[in-house]
Amino acid sequence: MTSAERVYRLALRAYPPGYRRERGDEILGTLAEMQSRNALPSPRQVAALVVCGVRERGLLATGGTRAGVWAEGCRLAALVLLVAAATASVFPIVTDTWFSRLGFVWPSTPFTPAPPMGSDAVIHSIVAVLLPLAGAAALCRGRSAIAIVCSLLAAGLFLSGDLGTGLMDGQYYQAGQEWLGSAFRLGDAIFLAAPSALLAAGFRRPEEPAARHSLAWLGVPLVLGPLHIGFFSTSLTFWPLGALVIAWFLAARFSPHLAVAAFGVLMPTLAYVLPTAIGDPTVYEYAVAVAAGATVLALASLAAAIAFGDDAQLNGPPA
Amino acid sequence: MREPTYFILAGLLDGDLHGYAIAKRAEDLSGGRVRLTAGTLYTALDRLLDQGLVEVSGEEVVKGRARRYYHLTASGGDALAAEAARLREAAAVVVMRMSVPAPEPAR
Repeated sequence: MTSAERVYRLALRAYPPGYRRERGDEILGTLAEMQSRNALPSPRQVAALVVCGVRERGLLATGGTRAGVWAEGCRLAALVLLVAAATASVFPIVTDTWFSRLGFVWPSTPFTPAPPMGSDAVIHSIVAVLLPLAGAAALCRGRSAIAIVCSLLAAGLFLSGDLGTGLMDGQYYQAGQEWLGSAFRLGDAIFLAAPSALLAAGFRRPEEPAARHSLAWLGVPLVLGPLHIGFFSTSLTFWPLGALVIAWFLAARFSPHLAVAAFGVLMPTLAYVLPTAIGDPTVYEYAVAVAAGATVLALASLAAAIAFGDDAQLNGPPA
Repeated sequence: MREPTYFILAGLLDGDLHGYAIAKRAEDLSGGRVRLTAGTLYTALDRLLDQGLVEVSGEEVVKGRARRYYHLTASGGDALAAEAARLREAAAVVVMRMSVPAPEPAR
């Protein structure tokens, strides 16, 4: 096997397994003929394989219909938000253990450690991690109704409970800025309840069983957790938002249901991030917040155009 | 109909072809404008198969790999002819106007 073929085989993994079994061999044969002998793999061919493969997956998941694009986009966004909520809920537990109980403080840490959480708050925090995870697991098994209940319970728990710190950061509570604490709480509750709203918007009729997702999604918090803590302890709050906007444009290029999903993730994330811009009023952060708002509005119209456009546009890429 | 689809169907007018031959033929017929990658070629072929404009006419194994031959169906031929007629009419509008000298502007 040549190095080019190895790369093409890897790129072919972007296609759904069934399609690969049926067509993979033929596509590799055509690629071998297109490729001059011993040449390096062509980046153009690799990029086209990845884009077309992801589009094929999108067509499979959505059936290529507007209703399917909407339902699958909403479900994917809800899955990402549930996993992100579980990740974010780990933050207070880690800060409590690391700073307040074990007494570790980095020299540059901007805030003094709060007193350790009470046992009630610890239990609350653990439940706040487990509820979104249970919702994500239910969604991976195609059980949207259970995921809606988990998401609403998590939002309700957050609004009613005494978690000590917000999902995002405890420093504003400690500074006595109660009004800002409320803004955080509202943002957090919107973030936690958003999956149920998305799932309700994209709820499928019983005769159209929802596609299942891999349970590997439940491993995402392991990767996102350290990133999340890194971002919020280094004032890089807006980086994840910027990454989401970039993800949006990439997603729209691949498949319309991914564009719907990116939009579904972006809106609640904005509700969650904006209080930081209000609480830390440097010109830079305001500017970023305004730019992000304008971007979201532009993207909203794009999402509507894609989600409610002509079905013919969904049947594969331009050819 | 988009240009790559047009030239894929046009390439099949001369007879049944396999994937690589279709891409090569489309490039030749379009004067090098349509350069299909394997990904876009097979996405287009899948769509044309779904629409019934093209069908698989045969299969063989070459160098240990499956190779399928594609055939232009009757409805594929009709769609291609309709598109060619549309293009001819659209071109005629411009060609006819350009062949008649423009009237002198009023002073």
